[in-house]
Amino acid sequence: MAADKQHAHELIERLAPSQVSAVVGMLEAMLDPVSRAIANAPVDDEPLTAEDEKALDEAQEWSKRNPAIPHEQVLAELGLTPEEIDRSQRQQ
Amino acid sequence: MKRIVWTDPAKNDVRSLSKPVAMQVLYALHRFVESGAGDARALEGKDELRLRVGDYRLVFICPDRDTIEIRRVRHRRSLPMSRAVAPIRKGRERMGRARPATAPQDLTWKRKDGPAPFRRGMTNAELEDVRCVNTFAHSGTRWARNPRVWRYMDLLSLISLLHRGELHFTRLSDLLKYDPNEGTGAFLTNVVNSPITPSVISYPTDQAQEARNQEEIRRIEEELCIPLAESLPRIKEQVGKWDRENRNVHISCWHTNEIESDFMWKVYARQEYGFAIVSTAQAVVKALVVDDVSAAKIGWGFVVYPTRDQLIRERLDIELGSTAAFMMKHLEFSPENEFRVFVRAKKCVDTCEMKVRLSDLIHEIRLSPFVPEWAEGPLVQTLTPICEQKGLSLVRPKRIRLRG
Repeated sequence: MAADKQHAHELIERLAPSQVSAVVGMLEAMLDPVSRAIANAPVDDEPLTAEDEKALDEAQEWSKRNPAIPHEQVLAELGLTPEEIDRSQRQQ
Repeated sequence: MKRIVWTDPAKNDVRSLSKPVAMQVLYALHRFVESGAGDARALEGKDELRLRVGDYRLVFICPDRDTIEIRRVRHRRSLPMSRAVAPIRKGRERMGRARPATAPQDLTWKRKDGPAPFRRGMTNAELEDVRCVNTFAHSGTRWARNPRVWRYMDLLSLISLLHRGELHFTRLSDLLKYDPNEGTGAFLTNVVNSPITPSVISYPTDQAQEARNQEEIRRIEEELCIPLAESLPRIKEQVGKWDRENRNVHISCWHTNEIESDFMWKVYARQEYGFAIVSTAQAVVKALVVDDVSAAKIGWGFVVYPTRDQLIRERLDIELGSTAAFMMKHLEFSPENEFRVFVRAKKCVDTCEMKVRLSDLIHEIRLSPFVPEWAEGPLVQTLTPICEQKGLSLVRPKRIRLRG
């Protein structure tokens, strides 16, 4: 493992600057595709309505005053499990 | 994987949905959190983002690196019927905050510490006119048949191609690391067809044609008698002239084959983490002819691997001019069976990238059969969202084993 990492460092040192940025992007993508999706998300072209704004403000205010609710608790209240959700969508 | 948490209003939103719709929304959320796949959009001027799931919009925020907080789940009908997107865009432009409404085609690795690291592709103004090369009659036939071509590459090259939408053209001199005699028109070929046969034979025998055949064979044999060493000064002079003329030539090399090649995987795809772009000869050229580049700037042809008597007989070097230098190669490279697309830059440039329509160029992306099984999943997981976004097909290797 240590030898592999050393080798990876050596390879990166030998890359051209343009290739380094590609490698950095690739590593970020491999490590956390969600962060990349968020960072690259285009601006939404659907405008927020006044109603949307109000709903978001309400959620923001709630979030400031209360601890967040774990996902597992929400699923339990809905009577669902993660496996059930994944299975139901794959069957469709 | 990021942790999901909810606000109470969001929980109430999802509870108000029918079970099938709630399942659909939750499935999309799971998929996004696992792989980043999905249609996520940033809300301008806000920290929140919206994940589009059918007619529903899941509004979320990342309060820290490891958490996604669901703020609301809203139906899109709350949007005004006349969405008035255009006036809003104009307003953004006036305020100097214009951003494209949809930016997948502009997807690049974003860096906060400076301008975009990559230059744009070459344009008409930077390129000379070139011509396509019909090296042999059968090459023309191959063009008409539009054979399948393959570009074997490593992971970095693939990621770069997908994100930049630009095909890299290698400078001719940079190909010397693969073949020290690249660009010398196969002049050092010393393999001779045996026996030498005339290029045109008539039946029943035509006396005049037969005389021409004998003359051709005599001429070839006479030239073959000249020791190669004696020809070297003339050859070196010719190669030097070609090198000067072709200094700014950049080439994209493709392997012509109907099936994938074990040899090419091992040589050109770094074996273990390789990919192959599958296309056709005509599709490669057509995909390159984009708004800024006309067909007159793109040359192409099938590389010829002649024997020495073919070199003498066909006189391809005279017919093709300086293009012969890189469209004819030594027979030992014939397994590469190359199709080459080339451009000539007006100025000497280090790197040449050509803008390309990915959906036209890429018919399939194949994963190397040498990718270790443990790495296949992460690689596919990383590439699938990109491929889905671009409408491309990613094919996993078949791992059928008849032993063990």
